[in-house]
Amino acid sequence: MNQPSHSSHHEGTEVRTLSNEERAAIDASTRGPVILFIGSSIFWLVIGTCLKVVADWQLSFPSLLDFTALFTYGRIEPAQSNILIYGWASTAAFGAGLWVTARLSRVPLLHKKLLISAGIIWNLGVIIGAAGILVGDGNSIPGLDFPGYASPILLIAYALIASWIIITLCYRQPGALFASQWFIFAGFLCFPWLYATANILLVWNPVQASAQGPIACWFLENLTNLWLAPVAIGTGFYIVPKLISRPIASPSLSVLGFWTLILFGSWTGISNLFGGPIPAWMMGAGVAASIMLIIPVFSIAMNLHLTLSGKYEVMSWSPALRFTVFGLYGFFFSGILATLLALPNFHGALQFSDVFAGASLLSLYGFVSMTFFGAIYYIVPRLINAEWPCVTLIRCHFWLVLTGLVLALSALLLGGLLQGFAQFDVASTFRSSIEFVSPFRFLSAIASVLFLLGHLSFAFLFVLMLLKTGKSHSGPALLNEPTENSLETLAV
Amino acid sequence: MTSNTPSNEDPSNLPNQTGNKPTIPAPVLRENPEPTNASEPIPLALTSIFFVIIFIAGIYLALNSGGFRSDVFSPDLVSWSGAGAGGPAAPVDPKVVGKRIFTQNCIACHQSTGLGMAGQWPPLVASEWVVGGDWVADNHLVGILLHGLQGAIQVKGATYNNAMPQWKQLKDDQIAAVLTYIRSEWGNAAAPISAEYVKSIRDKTIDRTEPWSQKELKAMPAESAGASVTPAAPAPAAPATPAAPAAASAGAKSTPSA
Repeated sequence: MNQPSHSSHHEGTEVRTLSNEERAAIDASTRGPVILFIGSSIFWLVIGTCLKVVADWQLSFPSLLDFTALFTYGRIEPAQSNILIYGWASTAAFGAGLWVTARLSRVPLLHKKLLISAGIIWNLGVIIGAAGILVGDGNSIPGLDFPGYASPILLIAYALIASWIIITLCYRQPGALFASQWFIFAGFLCFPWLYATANILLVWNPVQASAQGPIACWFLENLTNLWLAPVAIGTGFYIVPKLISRPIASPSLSVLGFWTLILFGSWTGISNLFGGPIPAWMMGAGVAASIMLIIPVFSIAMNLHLTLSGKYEVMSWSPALRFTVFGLYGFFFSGILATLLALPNFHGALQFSDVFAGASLLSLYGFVSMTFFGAIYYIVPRLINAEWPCVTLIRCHFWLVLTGLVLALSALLLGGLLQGFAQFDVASTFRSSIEFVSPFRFLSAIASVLFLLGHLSFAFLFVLMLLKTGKSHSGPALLNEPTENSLETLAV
Repeated sequence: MTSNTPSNEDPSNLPNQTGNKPTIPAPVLRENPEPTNASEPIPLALTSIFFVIIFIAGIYLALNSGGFRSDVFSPDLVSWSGAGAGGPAAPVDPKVVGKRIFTQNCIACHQSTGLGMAGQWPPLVASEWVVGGDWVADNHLVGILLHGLQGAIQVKGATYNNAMPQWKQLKDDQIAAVLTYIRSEWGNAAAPISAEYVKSIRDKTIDRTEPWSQKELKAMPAESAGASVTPAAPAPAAPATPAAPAAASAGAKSTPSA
């Protein structure tokens, strides 16, 4: 056939078992830091969504909260996006990545108190950064708005957290590495590279102006492609086979998906500078890399589908699997959309429209957030020995977030198309392009309220869960009655 | 394999695991074993798709790389080998720019059809003020755009009494573009107006602050934008006899472009 068999992957499978005691011991060692990371990420999720609601409503009603500079759109908007990236998604990535790495390395975490301190420093950095944006010290570089005095704090905390992941991986029990471990390890190696490079070249010691655009685009795109995406995919690839008691279908596809994502993912950002003052070859390479990004997107989605095929019904009762699978398919759709938008014909017309806001919403909410929601639903009961207390709240969370996502996405894509074509039409004014899009922006403002409600029910559920710590008397929280009497139905 | 039966359903399945360690959480006890890899190959169809994608991306890069030169900013200007780099960008069609300026500024009165509104705003279609007439010529038209027009005027035999605002805030090339547009749209076929000509009229009338009246314009000798095309003919015309040379120059202009 068309590829060699990866026999080395199978040799390790026999030793890849953990007794329940070992699992419990590993979970006991990760409990403190992981609960800290997950808890604070949910806190930032709620804060960030509140700010997002304000920012989205300000697009429809510009006079909202205009009595003080603190709440103007120019500060609320970067504050919400940075809080959601660094406060929510990255912090959740720490929690999930740490837990999955410790589980798969089959060793307990050492010196977890230092890790807890690192988590506290990280949250301090997010607080200082968000406050810095709100008082007007932001950098107005998307994804990099935290002022120059906040980012060193984040980097120091990050160095500690990432070292723990790497140390845990180094002290792993013998045996082949599992796909999740490469993904998470690569993500944790990429973040300091991206964040330090961008901060040095753009914030602390800015380079000449013509080079700043490509660097900013490279950074923003890679924040998803090389940091959040690998960690989310790695987490998903651990949780999905655990939940359905099946092996990952194709190790070859995992390898292919991993290397092509790392190789091409880092080039795609430049394509956002279409028509900008950069040499043509950079633009060409960016678009070519965006086309090539279809390879990891298809590989990962196909691998997931082959693994899940015939077991999709588990999604109807397992909240963790439902969120994770929606999240990983969100990766598929956001990858396709990103490739389409990178093509010059689309990009030329839609470059300054809401379509790109829709694309980043799909990648940050549809993919990263949904996957981490699934991970949190899986991880937390194991760490604190309790079951999710209220199925209705889980349902609320899921349906509110999904409805909000579909509504916001259709509004931003449709409105953005109209806006983009109006901008592209030489006979129509810029103002009329804004008028076309304003009803759609109102719809997306409604959608962000749905997001807020969903996230509030999730946060409330998490608080209820913490209050129940150690009282695992009821059965697992299932969204629906399992259809079969098989054993894995209850392994949620 | 360890038993993965949920403990909180029937704890009898885990006699030795919960012995002296009472704190193994129930969710951990019901877990499936750690994930492994199966050995399914990459589907052949997917492999083929990937090769097609690699091919397309490679072709795209070859056609749009600008020869990987640091001084080539537009792939349209260079072949894949890097020959023919640089060069000026293609000039913008003034009629396209003119249409946009017309849509933004003029359409409210003169309408997108250029027919204006009977009794209120004069038409531009086949109007002697636009394409040239008995005494009206290019310098009058540019002057009206720059400084506006007020009071009763006759257009195609009808009288209009309204005010045209001044547009001197627009740049020379913008005024030239919009005039070129109205002179070539809706069946009008007069010669284009150049930005240099607009500049020359602007310089001549730089001190003017009031809008023109028809009487004042009539007193001004007719002059053609294409001064080099119709040499010497309109220049010596006295204010007393403006009609003949203006008509001649208008005729001379409109025939070649028609």
